[in-house]
Amino acid sequence: MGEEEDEMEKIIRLDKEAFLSMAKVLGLEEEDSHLEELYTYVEKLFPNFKVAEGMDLKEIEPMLILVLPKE
Amino acid sequence: MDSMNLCYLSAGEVSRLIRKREVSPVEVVKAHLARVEALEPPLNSFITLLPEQAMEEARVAEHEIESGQYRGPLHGIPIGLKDLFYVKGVRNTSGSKIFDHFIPDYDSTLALKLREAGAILLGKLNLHQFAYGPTGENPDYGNMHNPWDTERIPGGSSGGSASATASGQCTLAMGTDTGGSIRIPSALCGLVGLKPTYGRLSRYGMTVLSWSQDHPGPMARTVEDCALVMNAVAGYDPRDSSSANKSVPDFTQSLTENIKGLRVGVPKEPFEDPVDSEVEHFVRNAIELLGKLGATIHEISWPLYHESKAIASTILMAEATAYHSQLMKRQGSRLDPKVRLRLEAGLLISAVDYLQAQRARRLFYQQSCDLFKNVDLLAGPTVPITACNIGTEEVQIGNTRMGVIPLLTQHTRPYNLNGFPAITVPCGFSRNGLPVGFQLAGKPFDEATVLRGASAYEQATEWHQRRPLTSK
Repeated sequence: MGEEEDEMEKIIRLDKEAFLSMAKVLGLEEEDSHLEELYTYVEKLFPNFKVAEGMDLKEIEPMLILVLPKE
Repeated sequence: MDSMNLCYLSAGEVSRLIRKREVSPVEVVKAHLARVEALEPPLNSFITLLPEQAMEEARVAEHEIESGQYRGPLHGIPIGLKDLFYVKGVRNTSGSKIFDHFIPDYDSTLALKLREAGAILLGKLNLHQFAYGPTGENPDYGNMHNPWDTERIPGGSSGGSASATASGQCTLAMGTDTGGSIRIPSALCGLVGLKPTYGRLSRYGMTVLSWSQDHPGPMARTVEDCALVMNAVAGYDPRDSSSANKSVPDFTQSLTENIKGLRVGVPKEPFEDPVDSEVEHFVRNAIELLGKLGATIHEISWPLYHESKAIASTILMAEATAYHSQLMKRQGSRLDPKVRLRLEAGLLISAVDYLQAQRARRLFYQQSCDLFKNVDLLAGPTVPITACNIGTEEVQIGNTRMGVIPLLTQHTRPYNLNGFPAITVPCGFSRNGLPVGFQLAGKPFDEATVLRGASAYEQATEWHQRRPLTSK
C-alpha cells in the first residue's frame, strides 16, 4: 500500500525541473518571473490533471467515441 | 406606468401588457435605455450599447403588433446578449481588446431566433475575458459590479448579463455556462439562471471556451421568463455538431405550483465541501419548503462527486487552450494575465491526461444517470458563498481558506461535466443583504421537471420580488 501511495505521489507531483523542461519543449520561452508564476499556479493544479489515475476505469471508453450520422 | 416599474416587470408581465396594447415596445425600450444610462457606471454591464438600433426595432415591433403581426411573448422585450454571441454587423469582443474591432458577418443561431421572436437587442454584455473566469472581473473593459452592492463581484463569466438583468437595465439576458457561468452570477445577483441540457440550445456562432462543456442559456428574474426564452430558442441546429435532435416541449406547461409526489434527491457530498453557514441555512430551508409543497425529500450519495470538479476542470482547460492556442502564442501579452496563466497551464495537460479525464467523465455520467432511477430532481447549493468584494483572491469559510475560483465553481462544475440541466433560483438574503441561490438539476432533456420544481418554489416565496439598492 505504501509503495502505491509513493507511486501516486510521484505521478501527481510536478517538480520544477520537469516543469522547466516541459515549458521549453512547449515553446514557453518567457521571462523567469512569469515562468515562476506559472509554475506556482500549475503545481497546485497538477494533481487535478491526474485525478483519473487513481480511478478504476476498466472497460470505460472516453466520451469521444466517433458516432457517424445515421443518414 | 412609471419607468422604474416597467424596468422591473418580468417578460411575462410586459408581454401581457404589450398584447393588450396597454404599453408599447417603444415605451418599454425607452425606459430600459434610460435605466442603462443611469447605471453605466457604476455597473459596467455593457460593452456595446445599441440605442438607435433598439429604438428602431421597437418602432418596427410596435407597428407589427398594431397591425396584428404578434410574434409571441418575447415580441418587444428588451434583452441583452453576452458579448460572445455573434450578431451580424455588431462587434463581438469576447471581453478582450484584441477583438475590439471584430465584427462578425453572420448571426449566432440564438441571436437569430431571439430576433425572429421579436426580442429587442439593447446591446452586448460584459463578461470575464473569453468567458474564462467566475468572478466578472475584466481588465480590458472594466470590472462588472453587483447591483446589490457595487463593491462586490456579480460573478461570472456572464457578469454583465447578471448585473443588467438584476438591475432592470434589460428584462432578461442570455449567458453561457462552461463551469457555472450562468448559475454563479445568477445566484450572486438574485436571478433565475438556467443551464439547459448540453445540446438543447445551439452553440453555433458563439465564441468557444470548451467545446464539450459550453452551454448557452437564459438569465432572468423569474422562472416563467426562462421558460419563455427556452420556447423561443431551443431546438435542433444542424450547424452545431453537438445539437440534440430531440423534440422540444412547451416549457411554460411546467409552470405550476403542484409538485406533489416529485422525488427530490439531496446529495450529501456538496455539503461536505466548505459552505457558508448562512448559505447552507437558506438552501436547507428551500429544500424543506419543497417537502412542504408535496415533494418527497431523500438524502442520497453521489459517487465521484468530489472528483468530478477536477475531471471537469482538466477537460475545460485542455479544450480552452486548444481553442486559443494561436492567440496565446501570438498575443499572449495582451491577454488578461490571469486568463493567460490558465491558458498556458492547459499546455501542461497531456493527451493521455485528457483522455483519462474523458473516461472518468463517462463513468461519472453513468453514475449520474443511475441517481435518476430513484429521484426526479437533485437539490443543493448553487454557490457556497454570497458575493465577495471585487479583487478577492481567497475566502475563509470556517476553518478553511480557499481560492475564489474553485470555491465559486465547486457546486456547478459537476453539471457541466455530465451535461444535465440545472437551474438556480433565489432562496434568501444574507444578513448584509446579498442574494443566495439554490440549485435544482434534472436528468438529460428534462428541463420541464427542473422548471416545474423551480416554479413551485418561486411561487411559494417572495425572494424573486426583491430589488437591489440601485433600483432606488
